[in-house]
Amino acid sequence: MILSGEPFMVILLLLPLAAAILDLLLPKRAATAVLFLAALVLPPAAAGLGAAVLKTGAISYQLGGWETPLGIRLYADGLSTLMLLLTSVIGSAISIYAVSYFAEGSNPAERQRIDMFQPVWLIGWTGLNGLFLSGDIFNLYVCLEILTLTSICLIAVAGTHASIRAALRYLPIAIAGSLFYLLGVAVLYGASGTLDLELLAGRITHETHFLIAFALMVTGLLIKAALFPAHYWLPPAHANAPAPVSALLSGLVVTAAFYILLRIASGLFAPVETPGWAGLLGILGAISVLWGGLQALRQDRLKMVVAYSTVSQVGYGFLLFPLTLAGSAAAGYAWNGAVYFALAHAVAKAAAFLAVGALMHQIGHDRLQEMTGAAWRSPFILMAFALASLSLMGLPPSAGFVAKWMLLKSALLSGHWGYGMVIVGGGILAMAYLFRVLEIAMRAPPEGWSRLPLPKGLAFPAMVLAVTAVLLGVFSDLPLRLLQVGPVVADWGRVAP
Amino acid sequence: MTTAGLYLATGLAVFVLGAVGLFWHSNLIRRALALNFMATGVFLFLVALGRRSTIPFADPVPHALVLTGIVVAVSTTALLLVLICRFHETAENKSADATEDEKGRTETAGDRE
Amino acid sequence: MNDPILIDFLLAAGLVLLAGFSLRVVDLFTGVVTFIIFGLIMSVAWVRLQAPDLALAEAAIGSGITGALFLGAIRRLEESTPGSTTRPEYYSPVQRELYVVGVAGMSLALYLLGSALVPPLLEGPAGLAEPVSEAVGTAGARNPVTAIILNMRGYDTMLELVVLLLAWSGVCVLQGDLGRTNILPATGELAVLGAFVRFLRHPGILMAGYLIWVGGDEPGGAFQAGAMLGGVGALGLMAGGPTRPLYSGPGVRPVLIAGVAAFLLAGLSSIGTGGMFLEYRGEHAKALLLVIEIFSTLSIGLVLTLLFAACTFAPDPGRGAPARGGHS
Repeated sequence: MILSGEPFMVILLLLPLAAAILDLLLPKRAATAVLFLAALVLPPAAAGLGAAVLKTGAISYQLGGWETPLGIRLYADGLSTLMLLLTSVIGSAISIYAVSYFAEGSNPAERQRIDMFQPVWLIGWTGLNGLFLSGDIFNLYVCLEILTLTSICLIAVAGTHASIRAALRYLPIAIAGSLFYLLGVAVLYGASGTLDLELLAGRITHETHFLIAFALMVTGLLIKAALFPAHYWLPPAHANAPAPVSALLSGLVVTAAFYILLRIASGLFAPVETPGWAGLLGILGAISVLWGGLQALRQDRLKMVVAYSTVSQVGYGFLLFPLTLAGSAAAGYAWNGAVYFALAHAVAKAAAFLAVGALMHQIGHDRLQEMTGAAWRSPFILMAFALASLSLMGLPPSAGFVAKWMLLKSALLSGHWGYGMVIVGGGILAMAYLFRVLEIAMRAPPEGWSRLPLPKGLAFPAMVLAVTAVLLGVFSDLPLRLLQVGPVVADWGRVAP
Repeated sequence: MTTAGLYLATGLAVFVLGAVGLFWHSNLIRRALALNFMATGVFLFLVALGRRSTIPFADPVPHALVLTGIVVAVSTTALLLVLICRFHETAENKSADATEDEKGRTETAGDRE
Repeated sequence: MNDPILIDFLLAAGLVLLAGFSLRVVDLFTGVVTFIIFGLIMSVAWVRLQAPDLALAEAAIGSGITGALFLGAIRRLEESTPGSTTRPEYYSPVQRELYVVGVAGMSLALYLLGSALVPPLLEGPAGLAEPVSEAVGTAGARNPVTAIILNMRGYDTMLELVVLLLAWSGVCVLQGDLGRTNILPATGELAVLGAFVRFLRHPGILMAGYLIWVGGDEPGGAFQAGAMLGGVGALGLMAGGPTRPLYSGPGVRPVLIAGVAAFLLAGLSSIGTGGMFLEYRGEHAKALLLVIEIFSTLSIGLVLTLLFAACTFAPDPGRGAPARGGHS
């Protein structure tokens, strides 16, 4: 029997949703069992889909049995499958981590708030999987809104005034972003008569109204992906959320917006992309890389360092746009490098936030200056943080290194020396802000120090993700092969003027 | 000028008014209103597309999309309003609270520099 | 038919002016009332655009419930921070200086956007009106909008019910289980309102049922009916008393998830019988859609009621509320 991918798509979509509903209805212990079940089943399901996609190529699934353009199509190719795998691995780690993280809290009001984490996170998981599987631009809008509301709910789980303030800084701009995207969708529908990604691909020309649709959608997505100058909401939101939520936001939610951008930029809008546009996105990306890095260097709270690091790392992905226009060899490296960068960053950043959360659980705060000797008092967790840092800095043999290497190669092959320098410079900044943290942690601990008891449920998920970030660098063949399934970027580079 | 053209333009105008209002004002409730105008502008634009002269009768797909959009809009608005209320209620002292909007704004601006 | 008549120009001008006024006026209450009037005018515009389903939804949700949410929130803000909704807004000196430039820039942006988008889009290809009308016969509803919402794009609608569920979840996170919110006892004029609500309640629910039933063939459906229920619920809450058992009872969560669950089960059963997820056709489609609609209506009605309550009533301090202050 030929392995078919469709059942896996349905499982990836419906299992988290069904689990969320059960989670809302069942008593606490049974609800946690449901969460574990989802965390156990979803990674193999994503792997199964990956195997099927490798074997048979991209898969479509007509929901409701309606052919496009009437119905909505689920779609999985190499890119979306990689994202689904990423989501399932990080998602499982976050789920297990969260159960320990939120185990305490006796005050009934606090309990009530914390108990909402599981169902909301499962809904968020549904939104992520739905987004990566979606083949319809309006459906993508609905998924984006699910992610926006999930983010808000989960940030507020922290229950502090600061978290409410951060959520309030994020929500209006996020809704505005969705509406810009939606106006772009409306223009596309009016100009092409369809909402399906595949049908749209053939109908977009270089006319001005398509350019405007592109600009509107990109504006919306830039806000969600926190690219400079729309980055300002991210650090407070990600730093004031509970640790598993920070990992989810920085690791997956930001990546999801970048994914949609990749989808529409490579699959739809190639005809309207001019060097000017690509250059603008590239320059904003470069500013993000440098600005985020400099700000991370100035922070005195560890979570803020890691959050500003996200601003910096998000920028790298956008270097893709000028680099793909440079010719097919450079374009191939740029595409692989940018996607791999997104994967590497997601895993490493989730690991870093989980490690910081575990450390805060042990020492009760995240003030950098009071962390002297943390590496001696809590070696396992600092080890996880250091491994994640390896990838964030882009040092071999981590995934971050592989990704940066490909991006750098692309920049040099195409003669974009400026971008090459940004890639190297961003790496140096990352080393500066991360070694600064590690240096403080490595200093001699205060008198009378002792080993802190290890919170296993927190430390192991962080370590697993950190090790994954390194292993993704060593074993990069399979993911890169999977990435080639589907509309390959070589075409993208060629079509553009 | 056709009916569809008139409403397309009106939809864009309401959207732009909302978008500019969102960035111009610092009062949180007013920004929530601005978001609702932005949304309505998009909805009007979308439905006007279904009434163009090339089509013999109204296209129902935009209607369905807008129905979805209206429900999403009411959900996000409700959450935003509750956030605003909680923000004021959990503030540490009420006198500082009076200028909270403005403070938030200067901080944001400072961040952007 | 395709040339605008006087009323179209009046509607268009009215919408733009009301939107501008609503955002400019100092007193937020006036701004919100203007927003509600804007919504009512939008309903007329929907009718002019041959979208009666939207006219109903706009009047009920876009203007009605949303307006009520705003009014509730303003009242609550005024309670926690007196004067905060009537005080003139702070504008930076730069903003004051650049006001005229801002308005001019906005007009220019609008002109450019409009002239680049409107003419080519008027020449754009036909939408999906014809394929939808051909397929609608097998979709279990004669009203094409209902057929799209529940069948052809039913997946979107399922996710949209998830969005509503999320809004409720967010409220739970922010101010505790709504079951514990203080509800004002009915006194004075509210008692009159209570009597009014008791008078309206049953017709309201009947009306919701009618909207679901008729939605299969004519304008109406789960969202409009749900909004109807939400409106009745909101009125009931303002009046105190009558809807309290439903509000805080143990039945809340099952009703909240009923709509999503109905979609999920219908979808899974269609997989079970060899179809795709959410595939239903022909004879039993009509019955299945009706079941989904009834459950969705209940979910929507309850969520909207609870959202209204959430915006209007501050939680009982000390119970169900997040800790004050704290900057960790």
